[in-house]
Amino acid sequence: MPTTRALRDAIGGLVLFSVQAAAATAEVDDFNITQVAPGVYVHQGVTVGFDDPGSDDIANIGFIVGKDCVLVVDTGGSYRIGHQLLATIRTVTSRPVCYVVNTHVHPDHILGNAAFAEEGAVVIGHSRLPGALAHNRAFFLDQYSEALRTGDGRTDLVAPTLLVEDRLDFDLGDRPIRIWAHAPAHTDQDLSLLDLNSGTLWLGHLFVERIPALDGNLRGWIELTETLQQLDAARVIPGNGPLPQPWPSAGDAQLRYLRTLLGDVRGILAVGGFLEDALDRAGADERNQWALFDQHHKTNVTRVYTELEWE
Amino acid sequence: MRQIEKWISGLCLALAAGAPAQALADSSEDAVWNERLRSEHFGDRPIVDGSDVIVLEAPRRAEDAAVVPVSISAAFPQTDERYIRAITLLIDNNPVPLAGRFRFGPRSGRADIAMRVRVNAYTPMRAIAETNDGTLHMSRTFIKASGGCSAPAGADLKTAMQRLGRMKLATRNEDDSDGAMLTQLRISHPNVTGMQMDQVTRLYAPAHFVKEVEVSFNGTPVMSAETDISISENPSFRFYFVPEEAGELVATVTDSNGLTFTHTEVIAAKTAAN
Ligand SMILES: [Zn+2]
Repeated sequence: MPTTRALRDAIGGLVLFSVQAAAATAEVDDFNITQVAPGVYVHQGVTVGFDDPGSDDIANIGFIVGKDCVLVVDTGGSYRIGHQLLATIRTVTSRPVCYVVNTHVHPDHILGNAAFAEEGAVVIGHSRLPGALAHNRAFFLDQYSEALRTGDGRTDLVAPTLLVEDRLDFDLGDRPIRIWAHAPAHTDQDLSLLDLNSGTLWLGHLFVERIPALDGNLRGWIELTETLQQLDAARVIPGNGPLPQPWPSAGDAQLRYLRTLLGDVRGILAVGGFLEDALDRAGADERNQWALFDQHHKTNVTRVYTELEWE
Repeated sequence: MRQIEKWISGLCLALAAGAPAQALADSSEDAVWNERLRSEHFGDRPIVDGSDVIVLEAPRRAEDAAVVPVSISAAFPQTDERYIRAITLLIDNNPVPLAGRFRFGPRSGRADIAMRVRVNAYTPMRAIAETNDGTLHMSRTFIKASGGCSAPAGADLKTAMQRLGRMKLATRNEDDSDGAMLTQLRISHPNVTGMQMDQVTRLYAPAHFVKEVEVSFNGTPVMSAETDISISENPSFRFYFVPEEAGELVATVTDSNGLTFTHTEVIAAKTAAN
């Protein structure tokens, strides 16, 4: 897995950033924005199900301000949310939004892209993201037509044009940024982003409160979480839930859940157990550890069972 | 992105709640069956309520539309006097509604069958059993799921093709099974629907799926099936048979490209416990 190797190399060679945690003062406005480190702002999404009201505001999204440019990480589940984020950026700085990073294809992270495309931002994504978007395009346009409707009434699904195969380094103006593209984990188009100045690691695929949803590869996700935990970040921004989170400890709960699924389902398969046995028993002890457990756990078990059945 | 496809459920539920009358909703739910499926598969033969013959079970709402566990259980054991000859499973709103037609004999012990299917849209699902007196008995359920037939293949196709046709046969004694042995047949086969896009080439992989399954014990048929693209990737079937003596359980599978695979499992004599 070249991606993981590149990441390990990066960890080895990474110069330790001066930790500025003490300087980070939290400020909150009506869009629930927190400055988690100097120049790093995050909006915390809500913990509701994908079918519930407010489901366009599930993901943690935010921005990083450099001397020349602003970079946005994920754009929310609707044009409305993307636009609110843009309005918040404008209360902080008048610098242009040069880049938007999409951490993966899930709609709570990308449907606000149009709000920034209008500003001329370049959208950055995993090299597999355009394919995933193409595959879901008709579905998104059909099911999220209201969420996608822009200020002037168009519906627009904006795809990335700057693609990351492995790693991408660039600068916002005295603000170096590093992006890694991963092998299949949460999805098959996961990106992670590191702001080198503040040591803030942005993980769209890290879950700390709501149950992780597996849409990629279980063993890949475990391996990626373990590898990222070796990264000496001052804090991480999870894809959902409270922020910022201490690192590497914030990865422990997700890792425990994923390893439990792996162990339980392998055990059930080893004794000739059926999918129904796995649905009954695998990870059952995790029920009280996660919000929205019932929405995703059984789907996860089904995915894990079918992933491992022929390993 | 199978996960995404089920996120629409909430929207569809909201629409369903706005329907004027339950009776109207029911009749439109069954439109495909009433207008087409019923006559295509059964002509004008009468079909009665099957609750005393078979029970069809599926989750009301699928966790994963590409892998929906479905089970059909018979209400009585197979005997020479009374047995279920065949069970037809139809998923009305799938591109190919006939998921499978399964045949049993008195040797099957119980005419139970379980499998995993793809569900492409909110749909009625129905199992029709034909008993040895030639009558038809139906059990129906409704399932909320969508996108199962176009969901991308789970593993990459290349790896899947390398183990194409490998099979595993596992048996398990169950206390309440009248001497019948629960058997699971797993077939490694991508069961490509023809509706799945390769995310890199953006081309649709041509359909390639398991068409026929035959399982026999010492030469006597136990269960046979004609199947189609509604069966999930890596087909898995669960059924019973009665091993009255030691012998060989043989599974033969033929796919839509005409490839045939066989697998043999040696079964010891029936255990005293049963
Ligand atoms: Zn996600």
